[in-house]
Amino acid sequence: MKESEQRKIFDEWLDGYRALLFKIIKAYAYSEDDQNDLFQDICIQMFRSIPNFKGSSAVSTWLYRIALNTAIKWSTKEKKHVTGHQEVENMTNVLISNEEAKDERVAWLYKEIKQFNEIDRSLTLLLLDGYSYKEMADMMGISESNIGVKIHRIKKQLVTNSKQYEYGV
Amino acid sequence: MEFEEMQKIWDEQKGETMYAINETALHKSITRKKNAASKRMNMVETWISLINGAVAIFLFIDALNDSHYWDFLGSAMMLATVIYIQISRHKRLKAENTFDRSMFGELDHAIANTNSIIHFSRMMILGYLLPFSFFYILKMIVVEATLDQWLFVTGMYILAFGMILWERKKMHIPRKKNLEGMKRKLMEE
Repeated sequence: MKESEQRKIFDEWLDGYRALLFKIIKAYAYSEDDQNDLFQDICIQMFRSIPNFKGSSAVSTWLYRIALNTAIKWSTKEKKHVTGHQEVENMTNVLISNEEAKDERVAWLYKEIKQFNEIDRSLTLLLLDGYSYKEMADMMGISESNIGVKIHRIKKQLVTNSKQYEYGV
Repeated sequence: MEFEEMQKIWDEQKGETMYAINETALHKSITRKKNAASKRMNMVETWISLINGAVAIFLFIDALNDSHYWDFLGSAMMLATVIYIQISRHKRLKAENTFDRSMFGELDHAIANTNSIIHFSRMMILGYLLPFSFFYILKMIVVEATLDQWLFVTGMYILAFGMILWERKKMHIPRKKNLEGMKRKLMEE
């Protein structure tokens, strides 16, 4: 595949599925520098994966799989910005957070998601985006029954915590 | 709040309103990071292979000329490291282009990768630094090296040992533990 063709597909994917990528970034990376770092890692993997995409699954599923796997591995790395191993000042900010568009209910959801461990965070994102247990089991590589147990616990915790949330019912 | 309500709130998010992307900077960053990562690894593998290959040839020729049989052993060891590095490289390049793994598969692969790096650093110590420092010390005793030479050579070996052990302890072993912990979280109900 020609690089120009690969870049065109990358731009189309980025344009069409940016919300999907941003949700994962917001759930896994806290600081703006980390969000930039993770976003760039995901974009690199997304770009590199293009010649391998054969269309056997939906683009959104393919991207979810790549982005979640990258986020999971990224979160096991040494925390670069905490330990100062990366030159933060030299990082190009490719993402600019839109502060004005913040919805407090969405912010509450992210706060709750971030309280889960990294695996449950992935499941919560997939669940909120309407993926079936079968699709989740396929993406995570575990049984549907295991997915069911985890999802039950996640839903219960979210609903319980929402009762304490002032904007909730 | 019911879960279905949370889903509705979640669905209201639009990519355009969450972040703005500096696309020029993104493309530059992708090109730079993508090339930098593979170039760095390629360079390390190529240089170690070239150096070890050259040492293997040198030792082999030396062994033929002087009938030093231990040089044959040293040459074979160097050749073995070149073969090991090239096999690992082939596996790494193949694995780099697999994108359809499940999260379990990805974690398994990352653990195997980290394990191979840990084994590689062990091999560098046991199969490379230790035998070479042993041969070198013998040689320095035979040629009656000066104190300066002793200090320099032992200092360099201690530095090399220290760096390999430090990298292993501070980077690879904690990462392996993190990945294994993540896999446990994935498996547990």
